[in-house]
Order: sequence, then C-alpha cells, then structure tokens
Amino acid sequence: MNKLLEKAQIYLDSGIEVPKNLIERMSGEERKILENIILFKDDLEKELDSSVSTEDFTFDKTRAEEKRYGTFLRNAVILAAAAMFLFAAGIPVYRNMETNRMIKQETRDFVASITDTDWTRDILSGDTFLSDWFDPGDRVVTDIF
Amino acid sequence: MEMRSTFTLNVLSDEECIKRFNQTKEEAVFNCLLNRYAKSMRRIIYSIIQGTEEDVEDIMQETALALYKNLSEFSFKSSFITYLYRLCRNKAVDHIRKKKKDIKLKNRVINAFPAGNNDTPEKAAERKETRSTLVKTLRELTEAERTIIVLKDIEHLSLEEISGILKKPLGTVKSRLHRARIHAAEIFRENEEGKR
Repeated sequence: MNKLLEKAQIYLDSGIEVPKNLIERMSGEERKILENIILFKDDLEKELDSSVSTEDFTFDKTRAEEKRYGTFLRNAVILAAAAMFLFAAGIPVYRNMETNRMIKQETRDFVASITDTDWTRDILSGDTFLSDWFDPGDRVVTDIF
Repeated sequence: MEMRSTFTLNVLSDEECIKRFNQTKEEAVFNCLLNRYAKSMRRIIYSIIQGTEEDVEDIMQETALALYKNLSEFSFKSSFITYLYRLCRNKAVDHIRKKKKDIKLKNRVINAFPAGNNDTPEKAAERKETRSTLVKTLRELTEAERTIIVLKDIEHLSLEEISGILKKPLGTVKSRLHRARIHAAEIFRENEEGKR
C-alpha cells in the first residue's frame, strides 16, 4: 500500500491535520485520492443520515413469542426425524436377532430330534452321550448356547 | 410521570441499565438502552445492506431480539457498544446472505418463465431507480469495506473497538481501513468523472 497515503490516514485517524510537507511529497494522483477520502467521508455521513429513520426505536416483543413457537416446532420436527431414523436403523438389528433366535431354535429342535429326546440344556452339558454325535472340539455345539 | 421515568433511565449508564433490565425485565429500560444507539445501529445496518428502510427496521428488530435473549449473559468483558455493533453487523450480513439466496431462487423462477418482450418488474424498477454518485460508490465497495469505513469514519470508534467488533487483529483492521478508504476514494472519483 502507498506509504504516503497510509501516513496521511494515520494523521487523519488521530485527529491531527496532515502535515504540509507530507502532502508536498505526494504525487498529483495521491493528493487527489487524499482529497476524495475526505470528501467521501463527509458525503457518506450526510447520505447515511438522510437514508435512515430518526424515530425512536421500540422493540417488538411479539417477535420473541413467534420465535419461541418456531423453535418448538423445529425441535419437534428434529426429534421426530431422529426417532424415525432410530426406528429404521433398528429394524435390521431386530430382524438379525430374530433370525438368530429362529436358527438356534431350529438347530436345537434338530438336535433333539436326532437324539430322540426332549430338548433340555442338560443334554449338552459336560460329558454326555451327545459326544458320540459331535466332535468334542466342534464349536458349533457350544455356539448353540 | 412517563417523562420523569424516561429522564431517570437516561441518567443511568449502560452497565446500570443492563443490570436493571436483567433484574426487572422492564421493556422501558431495554428500549431506553437501545435508543441511545439506534441512530448508529441504523447507519451501520444501512451501510452494510444498502436496502430499504423496512429492511433496516427489520434487522433492527432482529438485533434487538438477539440482545433481549442474550443480555443476561453479557459479562462486560468488552464494551457494550462493541457487543451491540457486532450483533448489528452479524444480523446485517445474515440478511445479505439470505437475500442472495432468495435472488438466486427468484432468478431461477424468472428464467424458467421468460417474460418475452417485456422486462421483468425487477429490471424495470432498477432502471427507474436513480443513484447518486455516493450510493453508486457504496454499492461498488464490498460489505467488509463499507462496514469498516462506517465504523471508523462515521461512528468514530477506535481501532481497538473495531477490532473487537470484527474479531480481527488490530494491525489487520488498520491496513484494511486504509485500503478501503483508498478504494472508496478511487471509485468515488471515477463515478464523479463519469457524471461530467
């Protein structure tokens, strides 16, 4: 940025008149810009004063009420959307659990049918006759439980 | 009675007004506090949005609403003016962003249904509107440039206060201010010469 113009503005900002020797060091173009900085500032103040209302301001409290209801509705919509998302995400989890339960039940029923007994947990605990049917290290047996 | 009450409120400092409002929630106190700065707020808002008086008043209400809700949390770490003007500026910038979105949407609608040989109402209104050199100059500056010039040269805030409002370092504020003025002066001159 132009050093002379910057220095001149520092004087303006401090409320001090820009020194003549500083202005003399400026080119014609720079002096024009400085002049327009001051003119623009004066005109801007007049323009703003003529463009805005001068009436007393009164806060409209009903806007606070409108915003409150708006916020409530917004929060309700967000909660409803979250609930629907959880419900939708929960369906495959539930189905997976239900499928696993059905598979386990059918497997138990199958084991019970081939051992020709009523199904109880005791059948497969410890050393039982079922070891005749399955390898002791067969993890499938223990996985049923 | 009302005049005496207003007079009583006017002698309170900003801090006293805020404390009283937070205790009593009196609207008269709130309005009194705001009216001290209403002119400056309107000038800042107008310079940023370059809109109608209705737009300015709308943003004033938005700013007042935000202040009404949050004044109890104001902790006097910065000056009240800095806090208030920052709110103003933020609401004005939000308004500009929203307006840009609305214009884009409107343009999509307008382009979808061309007007044929006739101009759209917007274009006709735009041609009718006359602009002074100054208004033209203002519109050619960026929102950031307008804000910083108004805060310094019209509202006479210190660079430190402006730094607090814009949340920029002091050095940045200084250099931006100087560049903004030079830019404004150059455009102002071009527009003036264009008139002749």
